[in-house]
Amino acid sequence: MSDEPGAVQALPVPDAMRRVTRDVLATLEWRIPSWLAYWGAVGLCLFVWSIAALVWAYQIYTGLHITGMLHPVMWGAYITSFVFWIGIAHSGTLISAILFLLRAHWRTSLARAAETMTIVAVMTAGIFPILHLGRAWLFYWLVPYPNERGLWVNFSSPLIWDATAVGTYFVVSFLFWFLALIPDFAAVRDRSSGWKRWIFERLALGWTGTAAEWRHFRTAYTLLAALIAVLVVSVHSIVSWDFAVAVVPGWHSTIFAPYFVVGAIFSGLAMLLTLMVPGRFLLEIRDYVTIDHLENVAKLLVAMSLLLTYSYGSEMFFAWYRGDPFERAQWVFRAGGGYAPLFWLTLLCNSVAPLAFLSRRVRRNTTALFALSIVINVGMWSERFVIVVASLAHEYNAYSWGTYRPTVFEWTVLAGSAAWFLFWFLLLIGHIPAVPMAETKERLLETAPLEGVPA
Amino acid sequence: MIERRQFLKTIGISGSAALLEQCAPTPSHELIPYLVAPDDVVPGVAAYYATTCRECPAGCGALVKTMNGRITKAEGNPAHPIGRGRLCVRGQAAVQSVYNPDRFRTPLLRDAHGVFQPISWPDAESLLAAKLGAAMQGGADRVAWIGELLTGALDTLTSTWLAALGSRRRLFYETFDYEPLVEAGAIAFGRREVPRYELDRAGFIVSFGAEFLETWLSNVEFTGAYARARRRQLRDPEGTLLVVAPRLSLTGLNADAWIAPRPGSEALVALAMAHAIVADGVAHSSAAPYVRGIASAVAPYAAERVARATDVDAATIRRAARRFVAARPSLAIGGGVGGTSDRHAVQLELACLLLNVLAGNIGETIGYGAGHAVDRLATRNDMLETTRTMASGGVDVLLVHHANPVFTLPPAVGFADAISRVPFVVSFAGAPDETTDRAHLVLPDHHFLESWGDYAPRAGVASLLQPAAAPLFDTRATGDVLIEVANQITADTARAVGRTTWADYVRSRWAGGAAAANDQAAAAAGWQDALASGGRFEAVDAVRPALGDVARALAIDPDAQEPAGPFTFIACPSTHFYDGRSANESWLQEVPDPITKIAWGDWIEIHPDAARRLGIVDGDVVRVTSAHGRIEAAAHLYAGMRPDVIAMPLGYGRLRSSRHAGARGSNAALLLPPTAAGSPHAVWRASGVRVERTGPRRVVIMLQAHVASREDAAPPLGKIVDPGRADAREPPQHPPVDLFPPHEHREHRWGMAIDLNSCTGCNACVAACYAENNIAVVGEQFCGQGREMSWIRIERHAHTVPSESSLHRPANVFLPMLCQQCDEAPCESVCPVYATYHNPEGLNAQVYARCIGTRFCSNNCPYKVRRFNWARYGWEAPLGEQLNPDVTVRSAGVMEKCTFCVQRIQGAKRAARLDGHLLRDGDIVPACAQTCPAEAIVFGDLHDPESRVSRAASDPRGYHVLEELNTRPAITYLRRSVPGAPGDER
Amino acid sequence: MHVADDKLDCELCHSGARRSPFAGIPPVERCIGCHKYVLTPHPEVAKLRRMWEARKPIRWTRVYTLPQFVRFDHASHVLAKVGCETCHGDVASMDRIGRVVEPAMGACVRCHRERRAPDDCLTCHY
Repeated sequence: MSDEPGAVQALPVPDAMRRVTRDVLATLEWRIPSWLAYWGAVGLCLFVWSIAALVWAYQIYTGLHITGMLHPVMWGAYITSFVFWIGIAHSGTLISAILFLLRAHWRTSLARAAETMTIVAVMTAGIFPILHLGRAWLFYWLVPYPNERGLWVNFSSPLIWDATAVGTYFVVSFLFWFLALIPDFAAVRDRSSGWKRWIFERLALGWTGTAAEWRHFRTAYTLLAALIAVLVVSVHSIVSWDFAVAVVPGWHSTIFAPYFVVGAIFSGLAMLLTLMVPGRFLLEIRDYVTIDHLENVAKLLVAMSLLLTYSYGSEMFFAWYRGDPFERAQWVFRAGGGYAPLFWLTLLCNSVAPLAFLSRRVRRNTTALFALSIVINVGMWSERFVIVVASLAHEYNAYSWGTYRPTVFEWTVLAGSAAWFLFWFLLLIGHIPAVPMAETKERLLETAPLEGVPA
Repeated sequence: MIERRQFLKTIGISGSAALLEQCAPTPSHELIPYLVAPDDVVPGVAAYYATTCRECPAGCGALVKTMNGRITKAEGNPAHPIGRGRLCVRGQAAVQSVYNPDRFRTPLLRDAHGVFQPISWPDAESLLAAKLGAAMQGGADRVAWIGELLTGALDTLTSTWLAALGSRRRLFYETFDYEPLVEAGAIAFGRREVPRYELDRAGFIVSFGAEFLETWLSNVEFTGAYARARRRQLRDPEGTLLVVAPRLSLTGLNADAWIAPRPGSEALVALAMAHAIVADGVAHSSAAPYVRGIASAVAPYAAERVARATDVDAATIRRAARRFVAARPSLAIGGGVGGTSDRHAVQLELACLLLNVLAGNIGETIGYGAGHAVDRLATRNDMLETTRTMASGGVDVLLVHHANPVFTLPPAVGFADAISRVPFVVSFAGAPDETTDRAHLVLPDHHFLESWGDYAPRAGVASLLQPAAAPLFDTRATGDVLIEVANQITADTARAVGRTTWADYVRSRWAGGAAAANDQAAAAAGWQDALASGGRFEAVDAVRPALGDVARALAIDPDAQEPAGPFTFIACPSTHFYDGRSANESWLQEVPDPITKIAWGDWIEIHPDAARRLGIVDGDVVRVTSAHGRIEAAAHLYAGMRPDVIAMPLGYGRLRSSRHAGARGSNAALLLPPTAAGSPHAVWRASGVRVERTGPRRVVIMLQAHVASREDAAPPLGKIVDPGRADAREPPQHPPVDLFPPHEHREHRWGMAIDLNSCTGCNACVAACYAENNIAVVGEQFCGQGREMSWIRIERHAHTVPSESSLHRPANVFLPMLCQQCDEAPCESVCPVYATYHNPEGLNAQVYARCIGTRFCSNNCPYKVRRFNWARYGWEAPLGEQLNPDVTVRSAGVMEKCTFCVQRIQGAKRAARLDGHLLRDGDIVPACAQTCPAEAIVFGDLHDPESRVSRAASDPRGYHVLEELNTRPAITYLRRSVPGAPGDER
Repeated sequence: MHVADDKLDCELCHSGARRSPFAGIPPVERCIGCHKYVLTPHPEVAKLRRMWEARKPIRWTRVYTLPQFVRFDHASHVLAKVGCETCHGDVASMDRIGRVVEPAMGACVRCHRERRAPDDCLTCHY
């Protein structure tokens, strides 16, 4: 195969369709050479996150003192990572829903990977709010359920909004992802036998591909897309309110919602590159996820980076313009205090580095794409770290200023969360059609030259 | 009474069902009743016993709270003239020394290998009797007694006992003596006594370094009086207190004005003030007969003349002098330990007396006649003499009674070597210390809260000690030991002392003292009355003695300067450890020092300028070398002193491996000379010391991340000081806007008012809170990680007020910060599970059982008063016995904080219900307000317009911290009135 | 036994109930007080006497336990005319004392709401 696009489009339609099915299902039918590497990666991830699980067990046993958290910095790397992973979850819905509604067809071949990433990212993010609890074993008290004590949850707490929003987001994204898979599952079913067939029969929900089914499928898909498009905005807005509704200088800001959404999409797209640049080799789908697709993502990244820079700017401007001495002190601290290196690193990674994508050569160079995507991931994590930690470290009362540094235990857990994320992503993407076959075939039909017309 | 004590023994017991439930994570599954129910103990209901605090010679009255036979809290005894119901930080921590895990559990005898082995009481007593018998044969004065200051029963017993043994060698040893003051009294008025100071009647106080708010003489009494004086002087542009000292102690930080003379020249400043008064002819009429005499005595000390020697300009001295006479009755207090004890100590005290004479204060604010127990303290000379005798083998048996001279005397005195020359050393100490390390026989006494006894700090105040609980370990009252031993030695000694028990001995003397000694009924009644009120208290009229000739004693060279040398070293008494005796009480280690906010370690104070010159920064380990020794400690930059002075707190560097004090820091006394040069008195300074950086740095645990005096931009927490001109309460900066309907508080709205003008930052409230609310001590490591659990803390805010020539304005504000119980609490709205919520009485409730530990509440608290349990904290046995059964012991992973002592609120309501009356203002007193020696904290119902708190809250000086956040705190702070301070801090 | 046959009042022995948070267990002295004369031959009473002579307290088995973060004040409930039986059941009819009300928050809250007693958390949790 080659990195050149259109290899498939060049074929006559029926062959092209057969070719699509063959290529995409290659992974499911173990016809790819890289399966050893694949299982190696899965195993490694499993190992890493089991270590992290042990650390969590120890934390529950001995208490949170094994973290670097202190009075006054009571939220640290855990909450930072929660925000980070929720952010990652956003590109999925963006690509599948918003781009779908905007009829940006290049999204097609990336959609499956992006949506899978979304679900897995939410699964990862969802762990942290529980992980960081002082008494994690009572996490279910966050859920409103009738009990003899007559106790209820406090709906005015952003943490409850948060739980609700993330929960909703997970369910809807999952449905959306599964719905798109139904026709593809059917295709797999038709080509497989034995226990595999048994499984995929059930997954395909008896799809036969009649016109009526296709009609309903479209309607449902569009509706869900519309619904999820709203969630893209709502979820991270609500996550941002965890901070924005607090009185903490550096958190208490009206710009947080849009600012967080932009950041989320930005980091999500970056993560998509991080996964798909090597992924398309690993899964042998370079004909479908071509350099053009990657370039488009890069273009989006530039746009988002500029938006983010604007948010940074306005945040700082208002800190100065509001004239609140505490808010100002907070920004002086961020730029010059103990966390200044991270603050400047954030600006470098999120506002400066992505500008490289303005050059076509960089956009079309897979190595550059991969490297920059990593840089952006780092930048976004440290952005969240600065927001969460620096603000708490330097609040109103000078008596209780403090400095937080994550401990080795926390780093282990963070590594574990990344491993957990990769583990599920690989496991899923390896056992479903990594590219939406049905949609790809549609595109083939739409773009195919009309028959019988002399060339 | 004896009966009761044996009842208490069996109390296990009943309480245990209740109490274990409180402390142990798993409830006990058995209920064990009393064998015989004590008459005065109801399980689960607190019993209070009136006794006397013996942590220091002040002798404050105490009420000890016991629950189910265990001592849970010490509070002041309102009926007692000393302390008036308040205790200091050390008094509050006294309960911890009862349950000190290091206490001796049995008598101990040193075996051949020098190792202590337990020994039975009978054996121990007969052994002691034998040794004493042998010593008696040796001749007179072969037995020596060095012990804490005694009056009353034990004083009589020990003197008759020693007399029977043919010894007159009894020394009442206290680390900090008042020798110069007593001597000055003798010279000036022919009275060898410490006068009685009435600060509350003074319009202006000049303290020449006396730390009367910390450790000097009677700090609780003085703090209350000083606060009353300040409240009266509120509008005075000159303020109430002028401190003349090279370094600002806590007392100095509370002053309105500060003159920093060259160390050793304080006496000259005082004399120059006297000179100025005489020269201006403004002396008070009552001084008329003496003016001429004084004039000639102070003739050489014109302000201009002493300016060079004192480094204080004449104008400042004149100004102070004028103010001093104008504000009559005023008060000049001399002395003090870290302050001004040096070779001119007596002259300084004399000069102060002269000032008081000239301003007509004698008999007004300073009274002779009552005397003070400390008048009977051994002088440094006596100690040196006895040390020499011991060294030369002149003492066969040395008995040490609640004194630790090996540690507290400067090593230069050589007491440690001398004591090792004594063949048989007996200690009555309750817990191991440097002196018991050198004892052969240890006969552990009861803790003073477990003992019978009495103590009279001054004439007219006969204060009683009674056991609040049964002795925890196999200890025995020293009185009983002495009686028993005397009965074993010879028939004569037996006859001299008589056969009785210590308790009866005390009781008989008190009964005898009763109005009708022969009338049994009256005696019994008098005894019961004393037990209830804590002693017998009557007023003593002050006398107005005539001034004698002081000229001879005042011979100081007006141009004299301290011997050259880069620095003068000052060893300061520790507000928390006194002389180191209470250094093993973990509360006192964990609660930060009031000035530096340093916990769990020592430091050396260096002026920022000097530090810059020597290239020293905070935390650098510095070496200080004097003629007598060398110590190393971490440097702490402190602007509250002269650049040519360095200072260090006493009480660190305890050698003995007691778990909290042991091997922590170094002992400042190492640098001190045995006596001041050319004077027989103790001295707490060493001149001509060298300071150098050693290279390494040490982490100093400072709990206040940021003291405003340091260069670092910290926006102030609102207008904290007040130029004393505010007439009406200012309107809030922003009109309140609410999304939610306001809380309605139907019955009560609990609130508090804290007067920053009275608060001296003494930390008593903090220790009281630890005791009352079962607050965990997290230890050195966790404190270093910012995980201390204190619910109330004292923030020190230093303000820069321009100094006028040599008259500086310390302008410090101590702000007690605790949960503000906001009406619009940011913490409440963010808790997802209602673990914290607004209760119907305006409390910001915290339900530990419901908390899951999201910690959002703490993040969202602008005051940062919520504490999180990062780990499972424990109480080393038997410290757990002190836990308050009325308060939940919090588990790991939950948030905790102040709730205005809700257990006391509920308790008071319950009590009111049970005897059917309505709650009255003052029925509920949180632990912090209860103990505040300055009476700066008022608690009550804001709904009742007549309550003290409502009236205080409407004071024109009132404000809320961070009120622009619209949190509507239930705590109103009353701004400190700081002369010359800028009106607005913003 | 004591309640059923002898018609003794609970507070005769559990005297704390009226004045203390804890109803209290009668001191052995009080048991002996009667049993010096009453029912002396009974083996249980003999056992009691032996313990008294040995100065040993009786180790009763606990029926009701509350976690340490809950405060239950007997006195207030007695004052509010909440009879002992409300929680401890009809002791008279019991051969062996057992739990009648499960001492869990549900029961407390229900009762408090029925009787319009305060249901503020701080009533019991502090």
